[in-house]
Order: sequence, then C-alpha cells, then structure tokens
Amino acid sequence: MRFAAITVAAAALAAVMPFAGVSVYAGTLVYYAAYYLVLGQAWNMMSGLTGYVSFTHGALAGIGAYTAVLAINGGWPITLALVAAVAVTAFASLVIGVTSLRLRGTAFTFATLFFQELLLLGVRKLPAAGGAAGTTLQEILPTSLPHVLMVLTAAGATIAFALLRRSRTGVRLLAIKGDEDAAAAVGIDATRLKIGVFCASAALCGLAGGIHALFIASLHPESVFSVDTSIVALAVPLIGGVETALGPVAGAILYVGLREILQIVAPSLHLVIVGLLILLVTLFLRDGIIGAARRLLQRRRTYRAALETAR
Amino acid sequence: MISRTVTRLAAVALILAFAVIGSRPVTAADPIKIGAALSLTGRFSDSAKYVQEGYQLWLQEVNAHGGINGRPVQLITYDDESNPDTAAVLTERLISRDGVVAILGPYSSPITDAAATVAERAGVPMLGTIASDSSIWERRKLHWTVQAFPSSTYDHEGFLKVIASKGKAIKHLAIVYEESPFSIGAKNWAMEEAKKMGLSAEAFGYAPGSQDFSSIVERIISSKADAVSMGGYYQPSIALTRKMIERGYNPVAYHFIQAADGVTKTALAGDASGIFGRSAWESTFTDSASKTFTAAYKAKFNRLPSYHSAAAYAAGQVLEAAIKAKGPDKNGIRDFIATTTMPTVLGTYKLNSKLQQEGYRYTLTQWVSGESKVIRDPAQALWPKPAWK
Repeated sequence: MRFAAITVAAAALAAVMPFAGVSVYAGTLVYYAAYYLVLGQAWNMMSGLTGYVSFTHGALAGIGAYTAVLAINGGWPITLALVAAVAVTAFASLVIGVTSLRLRGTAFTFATLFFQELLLLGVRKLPAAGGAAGTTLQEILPTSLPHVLMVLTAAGATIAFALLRRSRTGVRLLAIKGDEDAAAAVGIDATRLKIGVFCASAALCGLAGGIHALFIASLHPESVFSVDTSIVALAVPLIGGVETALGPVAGAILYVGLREILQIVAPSLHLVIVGLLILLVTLFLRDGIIGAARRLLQRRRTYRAALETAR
Repeated sequence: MISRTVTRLAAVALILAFAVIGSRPVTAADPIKIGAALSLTGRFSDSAKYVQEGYQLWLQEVNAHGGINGRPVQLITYDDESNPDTAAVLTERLISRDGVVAILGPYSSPITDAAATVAERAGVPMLGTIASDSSIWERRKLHWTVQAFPSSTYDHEGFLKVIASKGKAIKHLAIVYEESPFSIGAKNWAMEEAKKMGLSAEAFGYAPGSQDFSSIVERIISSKADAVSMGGYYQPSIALTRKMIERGYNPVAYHFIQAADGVTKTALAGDASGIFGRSAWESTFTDSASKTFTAAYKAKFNRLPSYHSAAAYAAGQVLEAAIKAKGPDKNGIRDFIATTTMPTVLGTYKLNSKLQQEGYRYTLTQWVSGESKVIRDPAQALWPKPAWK
C-alpha cells in the first residue's frame, strides 16, 4: 500500500513536469525513462517471473506504435487508437505465445527473435503502413500528452507488477521458473499461465508503443523493429534487478541518466561504457542493483544485530 | 522498510538529476551556437563522417573570416547512433540545454523525421541536409524544416533529358517504381514530363522490399518498351537489372537512380557499361565553386569529398547567409532559409511553398569503361547501351 502511494506520488511529480516550467530536455529524459520503464516492467512480468527470455518487447511496442499512427491518421480519436494499439499487440503476441510457449526451454526465445525479423520484413512490404519509407503522424502533438500518459502508464505498470508478484499467480509463475515439471505436478497449468502473462505483457508494450508514437510522430520499420529497443527492454530490469518491482525503476533511471551523462563526458566511448556496465552487472550482481543494495542493507543489519548481542 | 529507503533514494536522485540538467541562460556575448546530431556510430556512420567533415570545413572557413557579423560560430555535434529515439533526445538537448539557434540536419530520412518533430515543436529552423525523400514534406506540414538536398521528385529528370536529345527512336518508356511515397512522387512527375515530350510511357509498381522482378520484366518486354528507368532503392535495382540480363532483354537505354554508387561496378561488372544514374554532386564537377571546395576539402581531410560533404558544406553556406542577414534570430533565420534563392556548392538553393527543394537538381551520370562519368552534355552519352555481356 505504502509502495503504491509512493509510486503514485513520484508519478504525479513526474507527470506535472511539462506544466511546471522544467526544461523540455529534462522532461524528455524523464519521458524516456518512463517509456523504458514500461517496457522493462512488461519484460519483467514475462521473462523476469517465468524465466522465458523475450527478445521482442521492442517490436511489440512497434506494433502498438504502427497501429496508433494508422488509426489516428485514419481519423480515429486518440483514446480509441490507443485501445486499438493494445488490442492488436495483445493479439499479435498470441502468434508467438500459442505456437512456442507450449514448448519448454529456448523455443520461445528463438520464436521472439524470428518474430522481430518477420515483422520487419512484413511491414516493409506493407504499402498501407508506408512500406520501407515508414509513416508519419499528420499532426505534430505537443509532448505534454504523451509525457503524462507515459508516466502514468509507468506507475501503473510498476504497481501492477508488484501486485502480480505478491499474488497467487505470481507465485505460480515463479514456480514455473523454478521447476516447470514440479509446478505442473502440483496442478499449475503452465502453458495457459505463460500465454496469459505474455499476452498481458504484450498489451502493456502495445500501450507504451502507441503512446510513444504520439511522442516521436514518425515510424520507420528499420528503427521500430530493430533489436535495439528490445535490448533496452531487457537491459533495464537486468541492471536494476529482475523479479522485483523496483528493479526496472532503478534500471530505467540509471540507463537513461548514465547514457546521457556519458554522452556528454565521453562522447565516443559512451556506448562501450554502457555495454561494459551491463556486462559487469549481469556477471557480478546477478540480482541487479536493487538486489545488491538489499543484500548490503541486510548485511549491515545482521552486523548491527551481532554487535547488539555482543554487548 | 528497505524498499522505502530505496524509493526515497531514487526520488532524491531524480530531483538532483533535474537540478543538474536544468537549462542555462544564453548571453549575447556567447558565440553563435549551431547544432548537429549526426550518426557517427551505427549503420549510417560511414556517410555521416563525410557530412561531419563538410560541416567542419565550412565552420573553419567561417571562423577564419571572423565569424558571422563579428561573432564566432560554434558547432555542437552529438552522435545519434543512427537511432531516431536518440536523435530526438539529442535535438532536444541541442535546443533547450545548449540553446542553438538553428540545426544542421542529420543523415537519412528516419532520423530527419524524428529530429524535425522536435524542431517543429520547439520552433527552431533546421536544414534537411541529406534528405532527398521529398515525401517527408508531403506526409505532414512542416514549417521549420526545409529540404537542402535535391528532391527525389526529379529522380528521372536527367534520363528524360538524354532521351529528348538522343532518343528520337525511343517509342515506349517503362518507369519502374516502388510503392513508397518518394518513388511514387518521382514516377508521377516523370509520367507527366514524358507526356509533355510526346513520349508514351507506362509505369510498373512493385511492393517495397521486393526482390523478385520476373513478372515486371515480362510485362516490360511485352509492352515493347525500349527505355527503362528504375526509381527504387539500390538492392531492388540490382535485382531488376539481373533479371533483365538473365532474360536477355536489352533496352536501348537503361537508368536506375542509384547507379552512380561505386558498388554498382562490383555488383554488375562489365554489364554496368552504358547504364545511366544520377548524382547530387561529384568531386569531378568543374564549376569554380566545386573546384575550390574539393581542393580545400582535400587539403584538410586528405581525401576526396563525397556528395554528402558537398551537401553539408552547402547547408552551412545557406545558414551563414541567413544569420548574416537576420542575426541569430530563429524566426528570421527560418523565413530567410524558406524564401531565399542563392548559389551554393550544390547549385542554386531554392525552395517551393512546401519547403521542398526546387533549385538543386541531380546530374546525369553514366558508366563508361568501368567509371561513373558525369554527363553534362547529353550528346556525349554512350548510346545505345551496349548489349549485356
């Protein structure tokens, strides 16, 4: 409850930025942190809890973005366009979900990689979506709308993850990650759960993509369906810590902030440094920064307790 | 308990970040700041390097002459990693943190689109330095972003001119186009122009990214076309050419817009002979502006400039004239670059009311004995195209 209250307060603070005279540049960074947080939380929901690694969360956001742009250019109101973005993305996720989540192991991961490539090839050849030349929102909207929507979505996704993680379903998902056979043995319908959570995670990506389309205003298949965004969706929880609601929050802030600072301090080396950091975190801090911080606090507390008893 | 501490820490970090990043005021004593986001890493980095060098050469010359109106010029360049999202953030940083008065455009359409959105919102003039796709200005109305590169609308122009001069015997022209806005625009212009020339022309569209041209080649053959002009991207152009070779179909004249690219020779070897292409600029141009530019560029960077470098330098020239005339005022600069007509290394800079380029035009090129040659005078062209080897 307290967690939800703090999240809502932080989101409210971030959401009013465009109206509070904060520089547009700072606002843009907060916006991107929120965008990557939604994708990270969506990835966390699927891959963090079930252990089935997805490489397609960026492409799922791309589906949402394309749906939103085509709908808005077709005269749909923005709300309806976002609903369509969610629905189309959730439906598209079933294509991978239903075919590959019946299988164990790496089949799903490979399917997500192929899916990403398939989408790129497909959209390139789709004249209605602008083909290889991409498509553009006819009207440039002010940033305040996507900013507020994205920040609220990020807060919603974080709270939703925290609730899911504590719920019975969350425990079941973790059981699948731990030992799928054992989970099945105690009566968990693993396939159905996996497909369901992947579909929910995709819907979240679709919403984020739709909102992002309002912000970026132009879509080109090579960039929308490049693996870059999918890597960010996975790096954010990995840096911060998977399986926790706070992990992606720390990850997104750190990812956006660090990249920005490094770009100014070390313009030619920033990508190398960010890459190295991700590598170091995944190698030495398996449970991410939040996990490491927790362990540190825990150790200090045990140490203090030990001191107390010694006295 | 622990999660609360961490949340608080995160909140403090967030507030600190805002404080550090917050915008700073710009005083009149500062140099005139101009921004550029360039793809210095990633898939566009090779060409973007040429763009950067073009900007650098222009900047060096401006400041060597005492800057603009007595104020030095500072060019702030960031690496957009060939990624539109990064370009959007960087353009925002250039505008609201660095306080630039104008932006020299990035490389490629996706990045230009993303940067243009930011520039339009903020009301900062931007020159689309390497934006040939004039559909960028068709698909939505842009007020602050202008096209400073030859427009794709005129992709077929040089080829039609050579037909007008040499091709009295040409009866039927086939125009192959991709079903993408830029290619459709070019096709429409060419069909109209062919009609004016009294030439019968037929258009053959293919889906974006298509690699199989068997049916199009069959349809071209049965239409009895004796000249073919292909207005799509490089890969499909090579696929179409290979299919024509395989089918033994030898048109009298053949043009594909990307042919001037050096890799054409590698892809087609001897069969490249006689193929027409088009180029925005070549370092072999002999007009005095191009010669001076090429010599200065070679002296500074020890290599020949590409058309990217020339376009970058030309964009600098236009911006310099704008600031000279209007001072570092965004509205003034915008109005100047939208309405002026002036000579640059790329030709005569002139826009239409949609801010698309009208003045710069492509030059016809042709592969002759293993070299891509500039064809200034259509009478000099190799005609007809030698049969496929």
